[in-house]
Amino acid sequence: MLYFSELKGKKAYTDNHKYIGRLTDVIFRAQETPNITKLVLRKQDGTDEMVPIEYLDEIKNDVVVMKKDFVPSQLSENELFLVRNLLDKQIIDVEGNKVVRVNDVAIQDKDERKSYYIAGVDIGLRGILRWFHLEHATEPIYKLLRMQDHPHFLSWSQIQPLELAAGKVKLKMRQEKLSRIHPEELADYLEQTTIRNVRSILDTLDKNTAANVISNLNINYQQAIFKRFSPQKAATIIEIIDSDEAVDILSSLSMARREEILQLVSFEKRNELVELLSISKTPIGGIIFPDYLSISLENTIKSAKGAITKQITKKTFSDYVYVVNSQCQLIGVFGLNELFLYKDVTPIVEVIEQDVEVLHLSTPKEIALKKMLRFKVIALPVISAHKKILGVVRIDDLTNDILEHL
Amino acid sequence: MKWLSSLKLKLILIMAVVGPGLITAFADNDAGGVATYSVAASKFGYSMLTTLIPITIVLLVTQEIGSRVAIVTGKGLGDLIREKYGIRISVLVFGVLYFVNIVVIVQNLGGLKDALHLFNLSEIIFLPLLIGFLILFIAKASYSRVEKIFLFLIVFYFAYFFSAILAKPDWGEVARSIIIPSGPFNFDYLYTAVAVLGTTVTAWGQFFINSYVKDKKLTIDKLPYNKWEVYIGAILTDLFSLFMMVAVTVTIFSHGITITNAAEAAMAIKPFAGELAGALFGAGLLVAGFIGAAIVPLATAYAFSEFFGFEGSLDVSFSKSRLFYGFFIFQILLGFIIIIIPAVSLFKITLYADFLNGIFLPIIFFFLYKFSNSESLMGKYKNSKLQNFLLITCAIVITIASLVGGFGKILHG
Repeated sequence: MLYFSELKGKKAYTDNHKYIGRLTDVIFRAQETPNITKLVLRKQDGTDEMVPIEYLDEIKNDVVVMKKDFVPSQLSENELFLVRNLLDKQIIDVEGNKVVRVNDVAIQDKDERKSYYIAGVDIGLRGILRWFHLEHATEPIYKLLRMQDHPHFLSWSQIQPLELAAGKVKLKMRQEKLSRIHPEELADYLEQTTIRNVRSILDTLDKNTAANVISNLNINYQQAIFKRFSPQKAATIIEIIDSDEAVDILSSLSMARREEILQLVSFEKRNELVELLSISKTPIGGIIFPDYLSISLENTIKSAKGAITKQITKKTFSDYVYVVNSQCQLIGVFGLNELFLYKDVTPIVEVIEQDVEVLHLSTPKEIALKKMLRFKVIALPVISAHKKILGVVRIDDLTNDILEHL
Repeated sequence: MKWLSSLKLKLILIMAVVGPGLITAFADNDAGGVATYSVAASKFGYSMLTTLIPITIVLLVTQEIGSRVAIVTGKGLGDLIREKYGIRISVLVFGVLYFVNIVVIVQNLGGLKDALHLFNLSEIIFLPLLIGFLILFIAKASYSRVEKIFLFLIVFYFAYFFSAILAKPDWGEVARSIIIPSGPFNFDYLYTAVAVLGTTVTAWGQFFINSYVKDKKLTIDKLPYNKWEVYIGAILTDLFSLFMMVAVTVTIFSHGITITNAAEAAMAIKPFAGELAGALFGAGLLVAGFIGAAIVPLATAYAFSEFFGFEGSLDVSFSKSRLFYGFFIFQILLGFIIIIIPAVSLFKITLYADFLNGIFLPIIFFFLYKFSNSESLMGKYKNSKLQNFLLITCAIVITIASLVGGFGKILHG
């Protein structure tokens, strides 16, 4: 996750080191999942260029790198500017009461897909201090006063996107009912409400868009949606999405439900899926490795080091550290090496990758392996239906197991 | 009789918009204002009266633009600065405003304290009582009630009118001095003129009229009436400044007495114009201090709500607008604490606050210029060429004046 305050003003270069301009604004789509579509770069002559996010190569600490063959574009329908339409604007609740202003905007990045979306808005003091690079300077004061640094984030799912174009940041609920959440839970929260909304809007979408929306969701939510879909609708979606993904979802459903859906899938696709399902009879249950590292998200880098020192043994799987919230639900992951790449005061929140790929007890081994290869990881966490982490499956155990059964 | 009923209608319409212009203008003559006018007149007599017309023009032009922006956009200066210039600038502007305003609050509570002394009322009892009343009143009363009380308090400024009458001035000479410059035009005179200007046209005044007009929720069709209300307010308030300076000139200046604050002025008037004139002058100070101590923290609380997006209106209940009222109360209490610390030199703080206000004003005028000329914000209610010329001239004059004045005072001590 990154904040707009950290992004604004960064110099943008092409990947062959030519200076383009400064990043002054970003453009997003005002919808349930507010994907960022374009970056606004101010060139030296003072004119602005809107560059589609597809040309973004990398966001580094100090600069933004764009692909050299980028083609500027125009504002499309339903697109808004972050600075012009969201940042610093007055937030009002559903009754029109003034709540607070938008102090900063949290942007969620999905690394492997190179896509970004607005997860929520920072309405707290930290959001103000961040603009002055003083975010961490106040921590000793909080500690001294033994005050809890309350989360002051509103998830995008609490905002009415359609009102933004009219210049209003309007909430969906009354001020008293606002849930202020931790930044790291923003994306989760968005997905939770997205489920409800997705179900209601999927019918209005064409099937390709719907499939795209679904494959962008966490598997838990995919599963939730598939349980509630009509078999026809589910079959249409299954047709479109990736076969691995489809098998993983189908494995998590009941036998009856699975058959019901498969009946409606086209002959060709059904054959492929049935074959995949038949070779994926054995779920991963037997090879879950229980000795992994997990810490709570309230940690900073420094306290995380302490917590890990207490847990770690020679046998511990220690390539990744999993991060859980107060309900022990998995919400993020980071590499152990990252502990040494950040300052001690950095909150763990800012280090973690939130878009964690996970396995379920029902996931077939072959699918697990395919996932690991696709995402280039050497282990994946297994979670329960309530998102509690059960253990990890390592690629070496997995391949040994598959070879043994050949 | 048609013209009579149309006049009556016009009067009713003007009465409906009365409040912001008058109250802001009179609050500009707060305790600090009374002190500055008194000291200026005691040093330079009638020759200081030349400053009044230019000051009135500056006040009337800038306040009119401010209230017009508020009516047309429905937003306060804080709202607009935050939305157009972002959080960094907003925090800086608010920080300076906050600091300057705290000093002005201290000045006013100081004036209040001195005025209580004049009437032999114990400050230990009456100052906390007045402050307590003020807090309760602002927190509990609705906008229209608060406004009525302020308008009622303004009547007490007539005290200056009567003390001027009692001093028996030569009105012909007064009139001549207003129009024909006769000052010594040395550095000290210029510096004092700047101080007089700075105490009347203030940064908080610009923020306040904006927020207060917004809180009154005047609609755009009231614009012409509001304009006249602002003009009348500016002219009236400077008329009372005139009476104040006349009373001081006839008594104190002409007898070569040196004073350093308003309470001393009230004391020094007595031997020459009688007990009543002195008491009236003191009563004026009491009311000025009270109005200042109420309006200035209100201006900061409004600005705070605007900059950071909290509910901020006198019409919203305390429980719904805790930060707004809390901020108001906090400032008064802070001012009170500062004033009861004997080691704090009011004089020194005032010096730097005046200077800061002087260099802060052109920045506020810059924002005002930007907003009042923005096509997207103002549409057809944009500034006219004349208004822009006047606004820019005001900004330039104030910048030069405050720089000269500030550095001068620091150099000369």
